[in-house]
Amino acid sequence: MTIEPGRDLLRLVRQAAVRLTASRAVETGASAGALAMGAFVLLNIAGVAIPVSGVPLMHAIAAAAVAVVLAGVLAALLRPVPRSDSARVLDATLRLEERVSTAIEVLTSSGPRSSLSSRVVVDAERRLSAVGVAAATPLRIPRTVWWTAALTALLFVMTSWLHGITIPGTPAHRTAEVIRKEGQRLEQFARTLQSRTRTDHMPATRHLAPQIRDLGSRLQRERLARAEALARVEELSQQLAQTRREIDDRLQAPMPAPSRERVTSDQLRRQSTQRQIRQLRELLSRLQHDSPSASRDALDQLHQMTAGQEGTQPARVREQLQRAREQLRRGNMVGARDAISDAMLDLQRLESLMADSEGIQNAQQEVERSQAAIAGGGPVEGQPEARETDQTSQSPVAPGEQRPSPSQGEGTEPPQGPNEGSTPGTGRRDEKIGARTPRLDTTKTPQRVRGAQADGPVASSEIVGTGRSSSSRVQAADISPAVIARADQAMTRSRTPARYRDIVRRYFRRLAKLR
Amino acid sequence: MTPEEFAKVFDRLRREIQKVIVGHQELLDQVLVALLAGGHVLLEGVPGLGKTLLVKTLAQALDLRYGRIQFTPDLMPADIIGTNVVMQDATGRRYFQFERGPVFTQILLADEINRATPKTQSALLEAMQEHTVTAAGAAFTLEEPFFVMATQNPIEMEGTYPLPEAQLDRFLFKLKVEFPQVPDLMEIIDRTTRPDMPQATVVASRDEVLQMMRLAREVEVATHVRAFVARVVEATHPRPGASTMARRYVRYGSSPRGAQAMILSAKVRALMAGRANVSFGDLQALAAPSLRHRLVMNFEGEAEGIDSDAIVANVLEETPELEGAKR
Repeated sequence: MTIEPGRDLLRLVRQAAVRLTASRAVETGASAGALAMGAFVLLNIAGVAIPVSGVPLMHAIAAAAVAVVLAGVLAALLRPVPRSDSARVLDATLRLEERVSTAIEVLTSSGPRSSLSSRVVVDAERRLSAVGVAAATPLRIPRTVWWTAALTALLFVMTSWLHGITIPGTPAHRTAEVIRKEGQRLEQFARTLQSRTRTDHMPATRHLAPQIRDLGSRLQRERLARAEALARVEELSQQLAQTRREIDDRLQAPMPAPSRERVTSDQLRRQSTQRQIRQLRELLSRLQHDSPSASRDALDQLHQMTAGQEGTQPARVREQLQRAREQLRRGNMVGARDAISDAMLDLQRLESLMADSEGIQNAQQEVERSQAAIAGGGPVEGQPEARETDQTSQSPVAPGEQRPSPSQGEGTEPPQGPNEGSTPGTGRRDEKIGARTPRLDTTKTPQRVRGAQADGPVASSEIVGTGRSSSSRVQAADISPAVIARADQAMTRSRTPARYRDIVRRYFRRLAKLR
Repeated sequence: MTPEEFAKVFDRLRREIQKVIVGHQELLDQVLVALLAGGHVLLEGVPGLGKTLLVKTLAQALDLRYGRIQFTPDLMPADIIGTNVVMQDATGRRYFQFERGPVFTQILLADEINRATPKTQSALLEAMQEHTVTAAGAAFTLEEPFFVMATQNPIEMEGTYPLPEAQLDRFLFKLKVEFPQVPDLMEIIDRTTRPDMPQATVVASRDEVLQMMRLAREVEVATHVRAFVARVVEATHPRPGASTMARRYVRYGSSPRGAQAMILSAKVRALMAGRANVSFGDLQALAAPSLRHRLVMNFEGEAEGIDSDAIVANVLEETPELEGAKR
């Protein structure tokens, strides 16, 4: 069996190419990782001055790992080291004096071969086999890996100890202040809400108020970035919306079908329910006496209550009130009281849901305001703080000069007048008010004499005198580049005798300084 | 002939010449390289450094015909190439016959070439390039190998005619003959003041020399090595992309003959080292003798007294071996 010359050489070079490709892929991946990590570190550093949210350490590590893998795989797939390049690398690292690269070219080229071609191949093969490819192309850990590690450590320090630190006076600091203030406001609101839940029966609101309060205190306490704060606010906002949807569904369920489409204010509905509860309570206390007159009054009242409330009363309450009326007609006072009690309980449950809905709606509005303020970097329009700022920014007014309130039309501009009076928009005045201004009082001074030029002798004289030493009034202009080029060409063409060269050189140096 | 035989003959030749010539090992190698690459050499050095002796010894060792022309200002082209002379036969009829000049030899020493007028200098142009001589309408082919070694004195410039660029470009190498070191000088004194002067004997025939020349042309050159030569030659020209010094001091860079000289001489050097391929090292070693005489300085270069070797060194330093790589 004969071995074809160059077969081993090709195999070894291919092996080297694979190792070099792997090496390059690792290097590219490490560089990508270092770049990604560097970008995250920069982002965190930037967060000290501008309101950008830093990347958490674990996310950064995960992203860097993805970058490493992607870049490495892409480098290996898209930029494999060709055989010719790996041969050159082998030549350079093993000091083979271009033996391998020349041999590879001889083997792969289709052109005519010289009498020494086979000798080149055999020589390269022998030398490469003796040394081994692994020695020439060792797989090393690239230096950028240490950079990546250092950057990761730096990011760890930044996310652990420097998280949320801002430089006073920078946009990031202003955003942090806004977040803190919004936290304070939310906490305050949650306290008020909690106190309301103590007086009113609002089970869902009572459950959610501590969460709002907790969010508020965390916004104040923790040094959160804008995105992080917005995410938390958004989370709570969604929770509130969900609870409110559930309450609304429960509120709509017992109502008769047509009423769902009727546009009724929640507040009016609640007031109506509260009134009905009061009426039923009163009715119950009257029915305690068990007198015929009380029974008649109760019948009338029940009739009135059911007559005009088709849209606002739940069907079940209406049924119970109907049942109470029938019981009264039959003279069964106990049965009537039971039915009224049931209706009152239902109405109380409904009122409680309404209170919850209202409370959660308020909470939602507050949370949304906070969200808008944090996203916008300051208090939003219509917010109490913003209004307060507007009012305080106005100059103080003396007593008796109070401007009319905005409700009286202050917001709109008065109609524009003919622009001739001193006070625009109040109408025309025949006389101007006050003395003339100094600008209007000036008189025109003639500065030009008009006339025609006539013929005649012109006298002129020349004064000869000594000049004064001073700086030139004419701007220094550069010599034309074409002239310089011609001079240079002439100098280049002419041969200068050796003994004059120094003199010529000095002359041109002086000239160059002047230039 | 195999590369091993080449290396053997080369070594034999070198040792034989070294019997007579003391020191100058690099110079001797470069002269042999130029001979085997089929080029000519311009030797520059002060008188008395053994230039003429080197050429004579080379001719003796190679068994080649040797001729010498001492260039003087009154030397005429016909004194070099020959002339038609009137002859008379036995019947009394007169006719012209071409009398061959000293150029019809194999190793020609053109001593102090810059002392002759440019007209006379240019008489060598055709012989050096085409290895032919044209006289009175008739062309004569010179016998191979034809090797010209010209000498010039760099110090005494009065009454000399600098070689024109076209003439310079025809020399494969310009070699500088340096003053010998003290031990070499002692050896020279010892060898040349004894009653028996050492003599070189024939160690290689004409045929062997021709075979060596043919083998040298068979040496392989990889594409990226050729590209390196092209980039080096390109970098000697004062254009964007040239080396720093070339941009500043050079008016005209090397001609393509410079690249040919580098490759041909590098092939011989590779065979000397027992290799059948040219390496970057071969090219770098022979870049200065191949290119130094092909660079024309500008005024600033002349005025500063810039040595062309420094420019070649700068070009090599700033030209990466592999394109796109950084040095």
